Amino acid sequence: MRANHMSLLDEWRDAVVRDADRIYVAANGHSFNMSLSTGENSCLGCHEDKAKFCDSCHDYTSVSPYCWECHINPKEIE
Amino acid sequence: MMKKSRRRFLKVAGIAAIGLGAAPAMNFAASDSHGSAKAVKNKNENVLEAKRWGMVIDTGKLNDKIAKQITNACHTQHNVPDFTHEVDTEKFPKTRPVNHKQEVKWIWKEKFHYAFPDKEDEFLAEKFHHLPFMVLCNHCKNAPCVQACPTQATFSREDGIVIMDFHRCIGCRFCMAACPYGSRSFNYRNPLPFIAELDPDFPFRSKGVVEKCNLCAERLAKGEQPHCVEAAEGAIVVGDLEDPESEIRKLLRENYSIRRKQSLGTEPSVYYIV
Repeated sequence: MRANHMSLLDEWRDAVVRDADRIYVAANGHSFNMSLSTGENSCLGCHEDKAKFCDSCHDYTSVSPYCWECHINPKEIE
Repeated sequence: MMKKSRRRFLKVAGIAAIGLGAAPAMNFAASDSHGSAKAVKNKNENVLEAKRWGMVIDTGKLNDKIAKQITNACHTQHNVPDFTHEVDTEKFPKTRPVNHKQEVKWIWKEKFHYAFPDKEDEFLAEKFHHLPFMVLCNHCKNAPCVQACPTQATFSREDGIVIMDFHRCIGCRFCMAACPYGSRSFNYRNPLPFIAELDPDFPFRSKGVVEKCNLCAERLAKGEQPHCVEAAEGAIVVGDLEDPESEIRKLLRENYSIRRKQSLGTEPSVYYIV
């Protein structure tokens, strides 16, 4: 996941926006909501702490993706 | 003789090496295949689907109050900035003054002679001057914006919804020039200071991106009606234009309806019952 999550996100985005497929059923039977931050089974729906789940690695490797210029971390809304 | 056997040895060794290399991958594939086999991407169980989505707006059922309600429902829940909103200067200290020509809108109230310039007769029935016409993206069958977009950020989905992939938009605004309905807005500035309350269920946009109505694709995917339909108290109906049994086809059969700038050949999917 650490190495390849960007390709996964890219693929998921195309599936959601272009094909309107929003549910990902993994090979092991688990299903996920293909969304960064909306709903329970989304990325942040399970990994609730963005600081740990996203930022810690991004800071360490000094990359600044612009996901959160539009997507909303539900925990950050006052 | 020696030469030949060496060649043979290398051949066998090579094949064996390929076999060894492939073994873990094959094992992996095999372990994947028990249970539900491969990963799949699906739609939600209660998704609303259509061959071609369309909308019917019954202008007779609209009034100014409902029109406001519709715009509000759509704009607040899609995080569309409202430039009349007073900016919190503590949070956003460097906000420039507003230029109202740069407003962003998805669905809004328009006068008849602006919405239907080709239908404005000299002695038009009085009521048309006062009716609020709700205008939005027409989700055209031959959408000019789709043809204009150089990055395929705007595209026609299989079910007829003209939708944007905001990630791909480079902000060239060709689509805005191409759209004959003015349905598209450009984010000349960061919209965030002008959003009163962020709705976490939908992203907002960044500076330099065009936006427009997406027929609430994110809600249809969950089996819910678009925001405007819910707020319209029965004045707006969405449904399948290709299905003769659908509610909107029934409405179109029984009522006289018009479309905006039909003569341009864009085949809008939004019908107005007048």
